[in-house]
Amino acid sequence: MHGWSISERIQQISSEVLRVNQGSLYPALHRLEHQDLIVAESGISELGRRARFYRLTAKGRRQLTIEADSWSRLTGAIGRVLKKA
Amino acid sequence: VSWKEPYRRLRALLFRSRAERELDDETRLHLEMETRKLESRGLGPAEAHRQALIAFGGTESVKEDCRDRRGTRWLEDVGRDLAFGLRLFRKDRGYAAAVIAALTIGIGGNTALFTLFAAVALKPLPVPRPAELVSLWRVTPEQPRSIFSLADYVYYRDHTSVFANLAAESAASLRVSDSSTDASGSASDAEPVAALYVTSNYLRTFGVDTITGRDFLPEDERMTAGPYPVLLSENYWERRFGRDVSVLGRTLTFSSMSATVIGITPRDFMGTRPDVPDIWITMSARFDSQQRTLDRTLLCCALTGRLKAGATLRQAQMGMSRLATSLQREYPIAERRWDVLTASAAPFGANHGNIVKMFAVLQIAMGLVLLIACTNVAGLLLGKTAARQREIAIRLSLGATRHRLVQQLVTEAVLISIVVGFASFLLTWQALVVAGHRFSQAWAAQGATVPIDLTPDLQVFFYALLVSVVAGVSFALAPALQSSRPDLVSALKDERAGAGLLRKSRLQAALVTAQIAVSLALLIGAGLLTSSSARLLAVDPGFQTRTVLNLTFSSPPRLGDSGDLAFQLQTRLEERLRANPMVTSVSSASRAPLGGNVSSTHIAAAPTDPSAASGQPFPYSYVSPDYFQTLGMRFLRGRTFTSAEVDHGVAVAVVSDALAHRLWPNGDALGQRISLGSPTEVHDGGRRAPLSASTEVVGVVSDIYSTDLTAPDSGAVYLPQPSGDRSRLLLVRVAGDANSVAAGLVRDIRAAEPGLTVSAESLYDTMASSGLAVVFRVSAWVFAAVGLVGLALAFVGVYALVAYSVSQQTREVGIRMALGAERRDVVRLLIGEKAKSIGAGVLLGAGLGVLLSSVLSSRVFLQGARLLDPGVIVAVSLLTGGCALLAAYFPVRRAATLEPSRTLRFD
Repeated sequence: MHGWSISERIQQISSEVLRVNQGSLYPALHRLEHQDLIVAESGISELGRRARFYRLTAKGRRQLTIEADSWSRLTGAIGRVLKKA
Repeated sequence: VSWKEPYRRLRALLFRSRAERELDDETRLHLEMETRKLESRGLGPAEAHRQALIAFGGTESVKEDCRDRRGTRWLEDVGRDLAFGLRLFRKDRGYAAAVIAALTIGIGGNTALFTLFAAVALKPLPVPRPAELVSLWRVTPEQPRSIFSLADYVYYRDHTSVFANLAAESAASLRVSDSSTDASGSASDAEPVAALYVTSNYLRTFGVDTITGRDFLPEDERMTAGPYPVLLSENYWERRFGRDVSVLGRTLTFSSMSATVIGITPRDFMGTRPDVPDIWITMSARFDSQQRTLDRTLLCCALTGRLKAGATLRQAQMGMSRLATSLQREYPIAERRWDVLTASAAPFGANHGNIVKMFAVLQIAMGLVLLIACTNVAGLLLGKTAARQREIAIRLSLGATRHRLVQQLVTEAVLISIVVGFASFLLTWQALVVAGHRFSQAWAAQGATVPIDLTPDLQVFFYALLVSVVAGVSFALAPALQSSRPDLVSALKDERAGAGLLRKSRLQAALVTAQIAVSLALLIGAGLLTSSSARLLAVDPGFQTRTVLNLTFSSPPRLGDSGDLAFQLQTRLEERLRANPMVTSVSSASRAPLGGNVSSTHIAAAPTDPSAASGQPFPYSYVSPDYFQTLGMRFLRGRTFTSAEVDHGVAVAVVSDALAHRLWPNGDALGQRISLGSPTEVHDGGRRAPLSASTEVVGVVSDIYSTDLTAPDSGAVYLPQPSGDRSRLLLVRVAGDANSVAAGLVRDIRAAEPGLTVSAESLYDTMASSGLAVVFRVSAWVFAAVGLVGLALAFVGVYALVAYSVSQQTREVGIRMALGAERRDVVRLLIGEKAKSIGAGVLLGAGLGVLLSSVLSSRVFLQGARLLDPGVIVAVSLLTGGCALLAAYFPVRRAATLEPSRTLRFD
């Protein structure tokens, strides 16, 4: 998936709740690539242009599980705190 | 960060254009997709593109962010800074050249000198475990470092508990002949060899073994008659025998002593000697057996010991002091009290201290040059950074970080440093090549082999590089840190006022003062050394120097160098010389005054106890009767020898005035008798030593300086040269200047006696090449060269500093001139300001110079130098002050010739 479709996908899935700041997207992708969490491959986009296609690496997948766990723990905790209040 | 990181960074750096292209593609694609999306929602193309751009944010700053993530950012910055630095240098060539030249001279000079120093004096002896080797000296109240008698050595060797091995050595100059090719066995070849008499454990003590043949054996030390065992150094073996193995076992004759070659010592092995000996002979050849065990007054031997494993120098010192005390208790007959001093063995042995001192003097001079170079560069950089204040202010106001700015200034400094590092390495290398060439020439002329390795190694290169980088970075950092925090508004408006400027102008004045002071101190040192070396040669040594030739000759065997033939040759030469109308007198002697080769023997008023040597050692020479007349020495009492006395070998002597006063303080020396020599001394450097219980004094002559240029001889004795004695040295008095006659005389002799090697120089030249004179001349020369370089650097430095400070005052100059000041007044005003700091520098420098000269003339460095000379100090001070004023004048005049209207609109 290339950068633009990533941002579109996030908006779609979150039903337009999460809007990616397009200016921060690419530096973030470059950083993730740098941490070996994703890899980029050149390819041709649907418009017939050269583009960089990103996909998760095995390491990235593992990191995603860890991050997702810690996120759900955090939101669960916040939810429980809010319920009590 | 993964292991791929460096690889990725490298790729990012190498394929930067590809990464950039990908980034462009990515951005463009994103914008296109976004625009399409917006268009599909019904916006017009232009509006859609605009909205897409707004949503994306600044494309360039996003790209910049992405680039930062690549992690090659700083490398790219460095590249850019380097390019910028190079552009700056190209733009301002004078400044870059001045900085690079100053630092190169300072660092290169110091590195070269240090390499030389390390090669000569700092490298440990090239033997196994050099730290265990210890040199020993005998210490008496009169002589802090003297040598030992063989008998004392034996006592120490047999009783020591700290040394695993204790060896003795004694140097001599012998003459070699090959008795296997010369059946008569007589000294047929005049070739001198540098010999070292050593004890049988000598090589073992140093941990060195022969490369062929065998080492000495303990029983060699008990030999009483030849042929004695001898070792050749590989250097001599190669030079003289062409590495011929058959020389092993051959019997050679060294100054009438036969010796059999038993082995070869490794190349360049020289123990603690100043040069590589040609041969090593067993110590038993030096003395007879009686002397070995009895005579404790004949000081002959230098000692070197190898400590037992684990023993310290301190233990060695204590052990040897204890032994010295017990030796004195056991043999109370020996003179006065003495102690033994131990010190780590160093190359060049006893000369090590002097060499270190000489280098210390030179290193002081070189260090001062580096100091000048540093102040010079500090001044230049200060001016430069201040002048760039506006550039820096613009960068800061455009958003450059302080870190980034300092990084750029440091990069520029490192750039300079790297250039300087390479340049100074080249300079070092060249200087060492030249120095090495000079040294080997000088040593070859003296017949000495001195191995020193002068190739600058990588260590020295990195030393130079480190010094230059550290110097460069620290010079750049201080002004960079200071100037990256300026008040932006006033800097942009070019208002250079306030406390900062005042502080800076004080710093400039201080730099001017420092440069002048240091270079003046150097020049004063140079001036004093030059004038005292001139004074040294201007001294009246008590004999004719300009009109007397020192003529030496040697001959190949066939021409007759032995016995009657040699005598006939010498007689022929003397007659030929006397026949020359230019020659007024010819005499022969065993040595020329101030020509080295001093031989001393014990002399006392007779009668004395004939069984032991007594009295103090005084120099003696064998001379022909007309020696005194040839040299122009005056007879205070009595007469010279008669030819009858010479022919019949009558025991007569002429003594010097000082010796006469010393032996007979209240009486008349004439007709008195003296005793000469030690009855047990058998060899003395291959020359016959005098031995007489009762010799009559027939004359007293005026004192001369024959051994040392700083003081007349404390006593000297002249003995008649036996007829037929072959000294191969003639002293020839000529009418007029000796040097101008010399060539003609030499040519004349060569024509008459083909095959004879003849050389002649005036006694003045002999005197000028004596040790102390050479040391003075060399150090004067070095100081003068270094001082002039320092002065040139200071000139550039003062020029740059004054030019900078004047450039800051252009507005003031403009106002003054607009208000009606004459150009002359402005020049006077500006010069007056600079003159104050120059004057301070001259005063400070003169003080430093006096200090330096007192250090130089102290006993530590150049003994016998009387350096302080107010005339020289004043002259050199005026010269330096004048140069500095001149350097200040040029920029001042330029400022004063500017049009007032232009200077007011400056910037």
